[in-house]
Amino acid sequence: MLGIFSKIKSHLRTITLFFVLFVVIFFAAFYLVNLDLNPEAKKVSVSSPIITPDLGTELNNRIGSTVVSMESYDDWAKRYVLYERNKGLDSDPDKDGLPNYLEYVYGTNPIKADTDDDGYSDKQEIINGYDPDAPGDTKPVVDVAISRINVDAPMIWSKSEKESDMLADLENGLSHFSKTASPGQAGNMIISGHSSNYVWAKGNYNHIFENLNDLQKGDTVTIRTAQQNGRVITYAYTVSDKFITTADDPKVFAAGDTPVLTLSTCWPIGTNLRRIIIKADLAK
Amino acid sequence: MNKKNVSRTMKVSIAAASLVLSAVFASAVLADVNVDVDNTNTNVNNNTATANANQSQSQSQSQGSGSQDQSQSQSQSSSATNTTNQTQTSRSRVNVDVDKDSNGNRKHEQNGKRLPKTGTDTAGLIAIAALASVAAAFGVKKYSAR
Repeated sequence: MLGIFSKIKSHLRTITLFFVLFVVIFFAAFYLVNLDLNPEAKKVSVSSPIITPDLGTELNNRIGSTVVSMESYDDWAKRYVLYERNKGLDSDPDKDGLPNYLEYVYGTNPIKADTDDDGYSDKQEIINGYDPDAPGDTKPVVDVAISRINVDAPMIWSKSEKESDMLADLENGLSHFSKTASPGQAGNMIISGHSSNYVWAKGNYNHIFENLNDLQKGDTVTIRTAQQNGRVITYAYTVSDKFITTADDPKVFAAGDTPVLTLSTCWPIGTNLRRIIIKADLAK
Repeated sequence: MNKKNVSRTMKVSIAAASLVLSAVFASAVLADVNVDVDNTNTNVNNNTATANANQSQSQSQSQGSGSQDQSQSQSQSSSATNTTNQTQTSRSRVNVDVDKDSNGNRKHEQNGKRLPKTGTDTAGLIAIAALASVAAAFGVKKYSAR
């Protein structure tokens, strides 16, 4: 036993040197391979797909105003010839399940159950994440903004739950987990983003969620949807919980009757061992 | 320090580094322990003294790491007329959830959905560790050769 200790002591210098070199080289290589080498440059290139209405000087001069607001609810009701009997906020003249105030917000026709004539009612389309005022399988453009961690990125509607599809989506922004809730709708909406990726990986969003762990309870996550008819609807979610778990934890996928947002990314940074999960409730 | 000693020291160092890395991976990946044991024994006797015995046993285990829960229950019932039934059931469960990540249960096995990989692959991390080991060993060799 004493012999072993004396041998270790005699090699202590070499062992110490080895460990120091190992740690230095390991972290240097880890940083080079995994982390964003020029974060500021990439942050500039990340821009919201939803353009905030900017009328420009010429249009401002022509209309003499810098602010354009939606028509009032009364004007809207008059345009669709809604009489006193059926112009209430909660009335539903076309019986599509969408009350007038939601028809007004989404810009859909309150006296026509299927505004875009694509075979699905306005309500069905909204619940399933489709644009109710655009034909076919058109989905609204969505972006996610989190001011606390300087995130403003497009959300890509994933085609399937296949990992390859989602990884392709992640090259162009954040990935919406297929068949989970749509923005503002009841249920659990799951959105994933990269916390790290190899330096040679494609895309400008390889580190978009690297600071997700900095979110605290009470922080706001803003989700904006832009329809083809020009309606931009903003949903604010308030962070309610944060935890670290596995990639297949049922708690992450559990859905109730209330609108919940789940944000996920790999953790610790530079690995895909675990997931950090942020839960947020729709603020009304 | 002669060459033989340096070579031996490097081997020991590489082995130690591998051991440390293995421990880190084991604690990160294998975070929970679940052990379930179910036992059921049934005996039926009637006038003609026939007997049936059924026994089933299942055990599952997964690893993880923080708190520890243990519960055990046992029940026994018997009746005797012309027929005697005797059933004995025992169940024990051990949960260990060291990192307190609420995963110390078996629900995960039934979930088909999985979040996408949004970080670099673990294989990359292992490759970097291997590269660092080789480079460090090379550095030590160079230093010792002086």
